Amino acid sequence: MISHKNYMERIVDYYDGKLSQSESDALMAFLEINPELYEEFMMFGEALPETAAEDTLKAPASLIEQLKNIPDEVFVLSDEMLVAYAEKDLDAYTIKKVEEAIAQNPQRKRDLEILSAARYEADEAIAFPYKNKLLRREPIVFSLRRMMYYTSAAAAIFILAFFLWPAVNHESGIQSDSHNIAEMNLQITNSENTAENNSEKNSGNNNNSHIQNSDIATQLADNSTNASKNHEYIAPLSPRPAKQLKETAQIAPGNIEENRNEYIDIYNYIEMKNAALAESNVKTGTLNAWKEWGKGFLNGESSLTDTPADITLRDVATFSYNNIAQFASESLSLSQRDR
Amino acid sequence: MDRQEYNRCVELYSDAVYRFILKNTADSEDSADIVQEAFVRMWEKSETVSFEKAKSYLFTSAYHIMIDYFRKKKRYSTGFDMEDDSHCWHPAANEKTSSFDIKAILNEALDKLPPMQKSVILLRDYEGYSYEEIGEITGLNESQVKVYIYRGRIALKNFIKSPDLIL
Repeated sequence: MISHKNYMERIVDYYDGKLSQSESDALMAFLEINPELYEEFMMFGEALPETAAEDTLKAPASLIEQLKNIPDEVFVLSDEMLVAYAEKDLDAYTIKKVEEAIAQNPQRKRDLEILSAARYEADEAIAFPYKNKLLRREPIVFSLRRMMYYTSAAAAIFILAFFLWPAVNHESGIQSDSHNIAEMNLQITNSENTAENNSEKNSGNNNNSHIQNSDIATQLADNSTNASKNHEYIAPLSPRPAKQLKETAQIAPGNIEENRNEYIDIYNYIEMKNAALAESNVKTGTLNAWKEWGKGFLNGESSLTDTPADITLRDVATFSYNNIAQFASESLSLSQRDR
Repeated sequence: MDRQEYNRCVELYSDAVYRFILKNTADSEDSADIVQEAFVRMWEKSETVSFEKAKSYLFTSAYHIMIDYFRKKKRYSTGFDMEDDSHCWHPAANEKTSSFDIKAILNEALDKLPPMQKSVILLRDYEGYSYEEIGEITGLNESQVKVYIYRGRIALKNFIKSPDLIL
């Protein structure tokens, strides 16, 4: 069915000789009733080249040569291929082909340069402003509670080590002195009673007894004065002079140390701290060494700076505080994570 | 991952994640919130997330949080037509362009890209992630990632049409 929409296709097919006889008749009938289209039909026919001219027309030799040398595989450098080349996603063979194509085509080379330039680098000047808020720290309140607990425990131990030990020894010595004084007074009283009782029996000996009792009383008075001074001299870091202790056998260091065990606490404490600090190379001193040091400390022969360990007790105090803080922190961390 | 490793991740990766998110959202406060949320999620999963996988986990979390952020703000669907270059800036041939302007143009071109293309290109350029890694972060397969990157690159090239602009 020929209409105004497809008549041109039929006209072209007519001049190309593609219409059958019936189709040609139908076209002519359509053109008869549409004279304006018939003129178009005639003009189209006049515009066609002569068949004879077509027969003599030949393709240029260069074109024929080019057509003869068409490669088996035609490589077309597409945008996608160019991007893949820039992204280094191609195999060696394709890379070579792309590079050859780029070398022959300046426009594609320019495209590649643009693609390579359009890369983004992170701006190092931009930093996350709230980094500290992201960091996970120990809750302060709970840590302080634990830290206070361990600090209190450490403080109690060191109070024992530094203050209570010498003070008890002083008190012990004073009590012993008082006891000795009491005993000596009793001896004096007894001596006086004995002297009085014997005065009637042996008046010649009374003078000698009074003289002796008088010397003893003087000596006891001196002892009493020394004891009073010792009581005032309870300075925690200044041990009592050994000479005063040697005057009474009851408070001799050799006897005292058998009843004292504070040095064991110090030794154990330092051992524990060094173990916690994992500093095996730190000399902690043996138990006997600490025992001897304790005796020497009482005698005034040892000092706080001359302990059996590599570290002084003051260093131990610092050590212990830091270690307690660390221990509390780690313990809290574990407990938090266990929840 | 323990507390120390987590804090190490904060030092190592918070800036990079923040830059990536900030480039996508262009809002510093929202970006900070997204980064913070990503780290919170990682800490909550610290029992299962290893230190070695932390960076990928952070980028993945931050990316998905950002997607939710876009959806909430109804900005995710806005894109830019690859074929329409009417908005492109075509400088005069003799106009000299400074390096600062080049950077500005590149940033402008990046902002014109659809969010997905923008994200994959930033992950590729900023962090040097492979297609596979980008796929893990964005939830795409490797071929999809490659297609998005290719399209993005071509769009950028078309945006920067004048060779004199950058050469």
